[in-house]
Amino acid sequence: MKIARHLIAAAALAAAASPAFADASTEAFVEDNANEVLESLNDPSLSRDERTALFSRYMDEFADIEAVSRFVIGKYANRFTPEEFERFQAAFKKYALAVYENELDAYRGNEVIVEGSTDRTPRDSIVDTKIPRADGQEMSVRWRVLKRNDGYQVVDVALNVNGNLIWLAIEQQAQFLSLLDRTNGSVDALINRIERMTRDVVAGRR
Amino acid sequence: MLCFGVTDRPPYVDIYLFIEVLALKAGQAAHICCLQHTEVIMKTVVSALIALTTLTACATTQDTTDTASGVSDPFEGFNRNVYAFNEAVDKAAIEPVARGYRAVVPEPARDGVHNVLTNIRQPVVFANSMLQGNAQASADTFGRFLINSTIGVAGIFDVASTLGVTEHNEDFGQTLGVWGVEPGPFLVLPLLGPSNFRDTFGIATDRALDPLTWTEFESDPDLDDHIAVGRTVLGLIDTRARLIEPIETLRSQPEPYIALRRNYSSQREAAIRNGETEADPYQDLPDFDVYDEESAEGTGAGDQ
Repeated sequence: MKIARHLIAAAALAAAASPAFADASTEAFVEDNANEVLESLNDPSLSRDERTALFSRYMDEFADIEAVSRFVIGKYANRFTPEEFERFQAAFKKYALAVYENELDAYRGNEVIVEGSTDRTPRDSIVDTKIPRADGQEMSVRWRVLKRNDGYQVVDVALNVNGNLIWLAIEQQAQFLSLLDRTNGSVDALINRIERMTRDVVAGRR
Repeated sequence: MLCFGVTDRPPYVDIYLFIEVLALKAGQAAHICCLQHTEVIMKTVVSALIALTTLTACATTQDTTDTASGVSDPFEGFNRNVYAFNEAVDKAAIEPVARGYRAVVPEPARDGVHNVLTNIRQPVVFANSMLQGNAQASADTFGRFLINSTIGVAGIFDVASTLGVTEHNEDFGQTLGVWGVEPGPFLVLPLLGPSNFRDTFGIATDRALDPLTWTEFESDPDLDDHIAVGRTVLGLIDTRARLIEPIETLRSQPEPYIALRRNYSSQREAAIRNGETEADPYQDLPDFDVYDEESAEGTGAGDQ
C-alpha cells in the first residue's frame, strides 16, 4: 500500500511538472479577456474616444505593457537613465495601445475560439486561438501568458502566417535594437520614430 | 491571399500582412526570376556575386548573425545600399506603373494575367516537387497544369482550384533547403529584392529547369524572345501590383530593412516546411522578465 501511495504521488508530481500539461485556466483567461476586449471595440453606443478609453483600460489589465516596453529595448532598458526610460515608456505605451486597437479592430464582433495550450513552465504558457475576421478570413493567433502574483497577463502575440510564427514583441525588439544601435543608443531618435508611427496609426483609424 | 483593400488593411500587424507579403514575395522571387530574360538575370546574379566576392574581403568581423532568427548578414552595408537602390527604382518607376495597372485594368483581367503567369511556371514547380520527393505535390501540379492549360484556356482561368486541386509553390531554393542546404548569408539582389546564397543559386537553376528557356519556335525564331520579354514585364507588374499594401506596411516599420531580412528568412524556412510550423516552436522564446535584473543583456533577437 505504501509503495502504491508513493507511485501515485510520483505520478501526480510528474503530471504537474510536465510542460505538456495544459493549464485550462490560462485558456479561460485568454478566452474571457480577449472576447471582452473585442466586445469593447464593437459597442455602437460608445464614441470613438470612449471606445479607445475603454479599450486601453482593458488592455492595461489584460497585457503586461510594462514588461513589453522593457523587453522591446533589450539591453537598453538598463542603459537609459530613469528619465529617458520613462519618456520612452510613455511613448511606447501610447503606440502599443494604438496599434493593438487598430489591429484587434479587424476582429471586432467576432469570437475568439481557444484551440488548446502549451505550458512551457508552470508560469509561462502559450494559448492557441482562432479568430474569424470581419473580412471572412480566419487568423490563427497565439497568446503568450505569464503567471503573475495576482493572476495572468499577456506579454506577446504570435500570428501564424503559412507556418511562420511572427511574435510581435520579438519583431519590435529586433527593429528597435537595430534603430538604437544605428543611432548610438539615442532615446530621442527612438521616441521620434515611435511618435511618428503612432500618428500614422491614429490617422488611419476608423 | 493578398487581397486586402487599402482601407480594410489592419494597420500595424500589418506586420502579419507584410509578412504574408514576404511569403508571396519569397515565393515569387523565383517566379519573377523565371520571368526574366536569361541574359538579364544572369547578368544581375553574376554582378551581385562579383560585388559580394569583392565585399567578402572587407566584411567586418563583428557578430553578424541575428541569433533569434539565425539570419547571417555579413554584407549588411552592401545589402542596405542595394535595398536603398531598389526602393529608389521602385518609387520612381515600378510602383507608379503597378498602381496604374491596378487602377486601369479590371480585376478579372488582372486575375487572368496572374493565372497565365502562374500556369507557365508549373513545369518548374513540378520539377522541384519531384526533386523534393513529394509525390502528392507533383501529381497535383501535373494535374493543375493539364487542366488549366486546356479547360482553363491556356491558363487564363484557374479551373483546377475550382475543382479542388491544391496549388503548390516550389522552387529550387526550397528544394535545396529540403536537401539540407543552409541558406548562407542574406543578400539583397538588385531589382529582385531579398534573397540569400542558396536562393540566388536556386533562381538561376529554376531558369535552367524551365522548358521555355530552351524552346525555339521554327515558324518564328523570335517568338521565344517575345514570350520571355512579355513574361518578364507582365510578371514584374503583376507581382508589384499584388504587393502594394504589403510594401506600404513594410515601409511603415521602425526598421524596414531588419523587418525584411528577418521575415524573408523565416518565411522561406516555413515554405521549405510546406507551411507546417516548427516541430518545437516555443523552444527559443525569450524571457520577458530578464531586463528587470541589473546584469541582464539582450535575448539576441536584435543582436546584429
